[in-house]
Amino acid sequence: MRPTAFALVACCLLTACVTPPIPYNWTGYSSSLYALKKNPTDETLAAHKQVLIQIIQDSDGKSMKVPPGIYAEYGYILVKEGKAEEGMKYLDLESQKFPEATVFVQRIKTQLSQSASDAAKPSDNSGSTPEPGSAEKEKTP
Amino acid sequence: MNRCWVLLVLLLLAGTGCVTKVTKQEAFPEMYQQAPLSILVLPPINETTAADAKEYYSTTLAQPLTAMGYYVFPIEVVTEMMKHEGAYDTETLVNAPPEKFKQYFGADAVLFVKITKWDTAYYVIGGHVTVGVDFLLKSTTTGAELWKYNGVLTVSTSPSTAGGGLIGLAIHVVATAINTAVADYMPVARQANAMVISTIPCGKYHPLYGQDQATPVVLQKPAQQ
Repeated sequence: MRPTAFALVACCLLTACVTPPIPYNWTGYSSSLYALKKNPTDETLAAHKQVLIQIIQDSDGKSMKVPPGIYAEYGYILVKEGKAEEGMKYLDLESQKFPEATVFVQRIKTQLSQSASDAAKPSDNSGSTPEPGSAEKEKTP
Repeated sequence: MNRCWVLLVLLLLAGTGCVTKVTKQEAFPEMYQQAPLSILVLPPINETTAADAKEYYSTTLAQPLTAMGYYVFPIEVVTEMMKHEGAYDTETLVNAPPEKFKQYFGADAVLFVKITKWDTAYYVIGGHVTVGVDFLLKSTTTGAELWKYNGVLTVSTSPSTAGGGLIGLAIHVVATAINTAVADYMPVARQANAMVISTIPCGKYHPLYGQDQATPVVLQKPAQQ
């Protein structure tokens, strides 16, 4: 992580914005996510989850802040693992800490509950919510 | 420490190259007018032949963007949600009306990232790793281009001392850092990001929000289309 920090600082100097950075706690995030993407197994997923919860637990909100998206990502994984109640808590935390995430969190919840009910009834996942690309047709006058 | 040298070289190049300097306000006026807070980063578009580039690269974006004061939607979750909706490729979304992203995700702006280079070259006396990226941030309210920037970062691995001086030394030090093929990209990608993303005007969570209009940025191509 230190080279990244250095790079950021150096680039900030380059553009003359010498201000203390926002103390987001990204400890371990990009490496564990990278490992997960490179080799998606139960172990790499568990390791990435561990990084997420560690970020949440270690951040006191002052000297270390939970970065945008971490609560949502953790909650999303939990719900997908079937821990719906606990996952929803983290999803709600995301929109509490970052009100601009409200629509997004609502969308996640809708999608997750949809896939839950899709899983309950066997195979019918056609024509539910339109994807952003195709939905244009409805709206374009 | 090795990477510090790479960066030094970069800074030197940035300082001496053929470049245009303007202020952030001049370069990205729409950004100050619209002041987006939340940025939806779409899965990168991969223009290279490296199949893995997009997956790996997407893991390096959130950190520098949030450091500049923006809310960034968790890229992994966004990617999965879009797949769920049948949108696998950002290519197909480039021409989608940007308001859709406002409606669907509540995003103020949407960021398209293109990976233009992702190469390693090894030859007898050395080699290099190159990562190139193009960024385009579009408003989801007006569709206007708020910010765009591109960067290509090449880290040489040639242990040559022909250049002498600082650069020769830097190259030599870097050479020892580079051993395996794939893992080399990530630090280079992170550096390319840091370089490119530092040009974005500071967002609402940044202490310098609304105060960095006069900060100079370097436009690598004087006439950015």
